[in-house]
Amino acid sequence: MDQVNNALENIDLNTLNIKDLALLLKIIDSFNSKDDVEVI
Amino acid sequence: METLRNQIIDQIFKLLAPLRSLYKEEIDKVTNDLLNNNTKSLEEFISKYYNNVANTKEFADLVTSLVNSNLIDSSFLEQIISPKESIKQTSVRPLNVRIETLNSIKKNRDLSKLDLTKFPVSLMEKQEIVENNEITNKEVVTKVQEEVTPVEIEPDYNTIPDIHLPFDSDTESEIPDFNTYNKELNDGTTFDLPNTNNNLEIPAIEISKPKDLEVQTPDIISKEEIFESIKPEDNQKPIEEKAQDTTIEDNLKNTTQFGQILQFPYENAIPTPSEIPSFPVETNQDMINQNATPAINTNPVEPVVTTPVEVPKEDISLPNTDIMNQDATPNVMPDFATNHVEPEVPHQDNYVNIEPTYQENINLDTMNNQDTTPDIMPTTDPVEPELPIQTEFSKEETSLPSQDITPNIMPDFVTNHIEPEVPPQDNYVSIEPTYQENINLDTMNQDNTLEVMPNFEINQEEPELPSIPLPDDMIKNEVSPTPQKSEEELRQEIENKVREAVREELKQEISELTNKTKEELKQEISEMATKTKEEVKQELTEKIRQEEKNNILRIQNDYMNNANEFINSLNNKDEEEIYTSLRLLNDLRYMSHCIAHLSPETLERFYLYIERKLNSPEKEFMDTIIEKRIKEILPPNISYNLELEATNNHEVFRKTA
Repeated sequence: MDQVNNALENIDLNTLNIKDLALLLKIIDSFNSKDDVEVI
Repeated sequence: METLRNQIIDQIFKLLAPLRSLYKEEIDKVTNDLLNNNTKSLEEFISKYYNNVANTKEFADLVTSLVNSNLIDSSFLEQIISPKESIKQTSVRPLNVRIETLNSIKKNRDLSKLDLTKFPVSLMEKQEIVENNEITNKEVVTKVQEEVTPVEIEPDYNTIPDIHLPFDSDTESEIPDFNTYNKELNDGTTFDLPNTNNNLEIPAIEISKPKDLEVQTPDIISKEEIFESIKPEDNQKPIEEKAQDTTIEDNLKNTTQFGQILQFPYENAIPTPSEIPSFPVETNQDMINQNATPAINTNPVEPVVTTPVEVPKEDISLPNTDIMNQDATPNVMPDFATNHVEPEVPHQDNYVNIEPTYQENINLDTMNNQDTTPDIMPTTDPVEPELPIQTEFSKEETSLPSQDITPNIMPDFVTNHIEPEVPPQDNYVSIEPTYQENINLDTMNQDNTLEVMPNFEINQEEPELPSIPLPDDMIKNEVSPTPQKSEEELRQEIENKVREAVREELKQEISELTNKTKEELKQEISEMATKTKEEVKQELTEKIRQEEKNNILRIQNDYMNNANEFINSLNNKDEEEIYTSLRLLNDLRYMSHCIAHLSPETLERFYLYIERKLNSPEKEFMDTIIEKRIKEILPPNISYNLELEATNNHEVFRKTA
């Protein structure tokens, strides 16, 4: 989980386009939806 | 994680804010759904309008790293285009990004910082890609033609002279006389009305050579030809080879891809004039130089740069092109070059105008790089190899009447602008400053051409174009005023809506609760009241009945006790006392009751006494009643005997008397 947090925190949202942001949102939602981080 | 999610949503709102005027309903839906943690509508919106937008390299790297560390499923990688692709794909940017880019360019006029590989290929290039590859398949050609084909719009000749030209008052005399051109039109100079058969002939911009007042029919001037005419021959070869290396499929892919993206900002955008601002804004000169429609051109912003190739289908008016082409005589062009500097023109973010500008930059810059370092092109940008071909131009071929597709702006532009200003260097060098000038003027609405020129020359000295991506922070800062405002408005609207919704829900709940409570209380009270009343009634009635019963019993008991005592007392009395006691009762019922309960002996004595009294002259009415009652009570034999005894006694009494 810490790895994920670091990776997500290091990314600058301003550099992403809307498509990336939507996918990133999807990734985060998938993380939040499952307790087990290893398997999404 | 949650805060990051909110930040992402905020960023999405920021990016969507500039598009809200065009896609209000859809973006509102996306906004509401996002606030409700529903990303479906956002995905639909992106798949509809951003499907061809590539993922950024940063994001691709992030996903790759997450997949490599087994933190997310590898299926996400399928949605991410590889970084190499992303560099290619990011050349097609959505409208809002282009607006931001324009604003950033406007502020930072150092164009050397631009990543020119990120700018899209124009339709003109697409057309030439097809032509250069000698695609004979009709379907393919018609597909490209459909993309390029403008919409037919009836020309409004009356409006043309009224359109404000962005000239200085000093140079106003140089404004072309539209009437004369129109007259020329009517006098027989024939223009082929483009697009009547949905041909590719339309969007070509015809600009006659400076001294050639004859109207030229649109020509297709391949970039190869332009390149040949301008560039030294040595540098030309690798580019051509590179261009030929690109397969037809790739070209078609690019064309369709760009075609879709070019469509993007204009889909559904036409209906209301209020939504037009993001559409290409053109001056009269634009109209002159281009085939653009006068109706849409409300704001003269970027006259030169808007090549007809980038004009959306709807924007191109066929008949006007003829007039415009006629107006695009050499008289106009030089004025154009000098008059670009004018500050009058308000700046508008114009998608259509921007794109060609970048396109021109790409072409010029790539050409420039190839002049100095011809080997760099293929390695630096895999997508762009066609570009130098596009820029090739031969002045001789401009007069060819047969080809209508490719606009002639490039060569004319070169001849008109560069020839007076450029030092006697080769043509290639002279072109770039011209374009540079155009870009600065058109996109930035700069006021001073002279200021721009030196910058460009400095940039030109650099051997390679720095492929530094546009600083998004700067873009963001540039565009921030409007998006922030709209974002705040959005937030306020959303907050208000949420508040109202919560208020309504609370009101409903409260009202339901109060109603429920009231009803329950009423029911309980009514039940209690009814219950109590009935109980009280029952209790009271029971008590009353009990008391009544007790009273009756007590009275009866008292009566019985009293009657028995009275009757017992009568039994001990003689006949006269019994008679007087009964007469004092003064009630026949008591009298009969007492007579009935007299002892038989007393009754016999009392009967004899009454008989005697009845036989005497002092007899009374009550005596006969008492006698009858005694006869009813006594058994018949006894009463007969008594009666005989009484008569005997009476006769004895008479005899004695």
